[in-house]
Amino acid sequence: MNQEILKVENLTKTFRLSLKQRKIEKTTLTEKIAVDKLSFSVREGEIYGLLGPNGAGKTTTLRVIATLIRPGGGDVFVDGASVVHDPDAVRRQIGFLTSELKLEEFFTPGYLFDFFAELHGLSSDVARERKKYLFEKFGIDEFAEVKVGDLSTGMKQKISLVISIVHDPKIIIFDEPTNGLDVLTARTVTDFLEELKKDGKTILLSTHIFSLVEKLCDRVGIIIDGKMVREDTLAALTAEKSLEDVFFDVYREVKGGIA
Amino acid sequence: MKDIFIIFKKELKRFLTDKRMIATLLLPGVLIFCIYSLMGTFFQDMTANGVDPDTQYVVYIDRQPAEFSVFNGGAGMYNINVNQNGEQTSDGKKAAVASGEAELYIIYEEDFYAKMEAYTPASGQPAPQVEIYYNSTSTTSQTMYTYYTACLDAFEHSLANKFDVNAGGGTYDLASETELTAYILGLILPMILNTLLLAGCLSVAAESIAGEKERGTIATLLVTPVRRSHLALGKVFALALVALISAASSFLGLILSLPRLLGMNFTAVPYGIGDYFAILVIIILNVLLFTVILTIISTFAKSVKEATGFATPFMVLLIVLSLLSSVLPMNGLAGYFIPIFNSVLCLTSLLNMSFNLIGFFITMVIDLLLFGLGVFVLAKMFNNEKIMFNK
Repeated sequence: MNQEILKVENLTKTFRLSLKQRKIEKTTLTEKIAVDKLSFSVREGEIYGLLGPNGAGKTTTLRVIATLIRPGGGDVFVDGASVVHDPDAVRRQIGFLTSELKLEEFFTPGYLFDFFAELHGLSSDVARERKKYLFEKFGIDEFAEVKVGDLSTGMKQKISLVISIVHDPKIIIFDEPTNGLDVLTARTVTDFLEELKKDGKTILLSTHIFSLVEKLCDRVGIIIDGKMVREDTLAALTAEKSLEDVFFDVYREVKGGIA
Repeated sequence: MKDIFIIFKKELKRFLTDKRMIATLLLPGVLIFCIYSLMGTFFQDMTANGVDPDTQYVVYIDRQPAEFSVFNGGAGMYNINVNQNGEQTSDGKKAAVASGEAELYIIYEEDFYAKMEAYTPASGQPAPQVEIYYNSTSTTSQTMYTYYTACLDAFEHSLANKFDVNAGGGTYDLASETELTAYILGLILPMILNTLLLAGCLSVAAESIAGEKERGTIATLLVTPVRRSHLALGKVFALALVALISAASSFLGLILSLPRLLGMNFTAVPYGIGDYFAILVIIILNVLLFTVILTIISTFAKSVKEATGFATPFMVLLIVLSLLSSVLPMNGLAGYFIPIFNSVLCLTSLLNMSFNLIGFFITMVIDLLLFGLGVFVLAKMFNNEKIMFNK
């Protein structure tokens, strides 16, 4: 068994609720627990899927791992580096892609690639080769010198993807990787994820799309209300039932029904 | 350190390759030059020196005493065509003034001069009358009206002359033209300059941080291994440079238009290279300080609009501080310890030629310390998720 390269330990994250939010959610609580003592680990070279409904805490967990937000309690170790104590080292190891990370529309994909490559400390030769490889792979080469603002939504997503892995990271974290993509682009992305896995990369992805998990993941963690309620290999989870059925069984167990 | 330079380069490219942004940055300077030059030209036209020597002024006069005929010469400024005791009726002459054919119609009483000489105010009788009809909608008529009333008033005063003030031909104003120019510059320039510097900083600072937050592009930078403090420094330095370019444009516009605005001859510019260098250092310090303050404000804001709104109180404070320095008599060095105010003091003292070198060094130290503190605060803010992701 491969070693654990990403470890989430007792991760907790709470958000303060504003008066307005409290009214909307009809609650008197001043804080909302987004992630509740969550623990799991991802092994080197596998694709780990975090499955859960909207608001389960998937995105918050991934944002903590990507060091965009700090954990309220617990810690995350990425290849030994703590997100609390050494966030700069964590960021060097990972590639993070989410729809909330946007690219400046004023610049061209070519310039942005060079800029981020330079920020990650790539030599110009390596950067050039990688740019050629990735741009050709995703069909960006034709649009390399067109301002991002003038490109289609799908093309922008592809460029975001390419930029997020500009430094060829060991660990790649994707938040809803196919959300908002057309079928063709979504297919390109899922194919690419498989290819990354073949290259020995470790991938953590969050999604609520069962088919994506079934197609790609080695292991799955189901999160509901910020807690890990089931974790196993995909094969073990789907030995008797489909993933969808397993998920709804678990959901009913935890929530007492489907709201 | 390399990261700072990479961020710096990108920010510069963002601002300096965007035609609209460049126009926004350089426009204030061009506008200042045009507006001030126009204002200057306009003011000069308003004064007698600006009168066209070819203009013919037509003036009807009835019963003008011979002693007053000297007024008709126009004092060497006006070309007056006098029509004495013309045959036209009084109403005809008034109509000519009303229609613009003539500028003025002056009527003296019968035996005006004799009556005037005989008149004593103590008698209680009405004084001899001069009636001047003019047309207030015509500038030439106004000019003539002002001229003749001034002549008559001066004559009237001379009749009761008991003493004179500065009646000799010498120069009584002992300030040299250089000092006067310096004084005027010292009074108005710091305020205008600071406002321009701030305007230049504000547009870029708001765009660079609040704008990136608003569009979600800052998060993309925050997941790279760049240290937050380096990100802050790279941005601040680039913004300061861009703001400086904008300031330079404004400053140039101002300096080039000043001779016309003040109606002065700038052949003997009162400042040396050392003065200009000190002014440059102060401008750079101010820009650094403004940029870091506005960048903090911009980082705190959720959108460009909010950033501009938050910056308004700061702008008002700056203008008040700039004005205070020209009003408050500042003796000693205390004022140089107050940020922003100290730079205004330095500029004022430089421009009106009472430069204080120790004050200048205090200003430099205080401003640089504050800049360092600002960058530190900014790096802390970049690390704060509540500030960076407040939506």
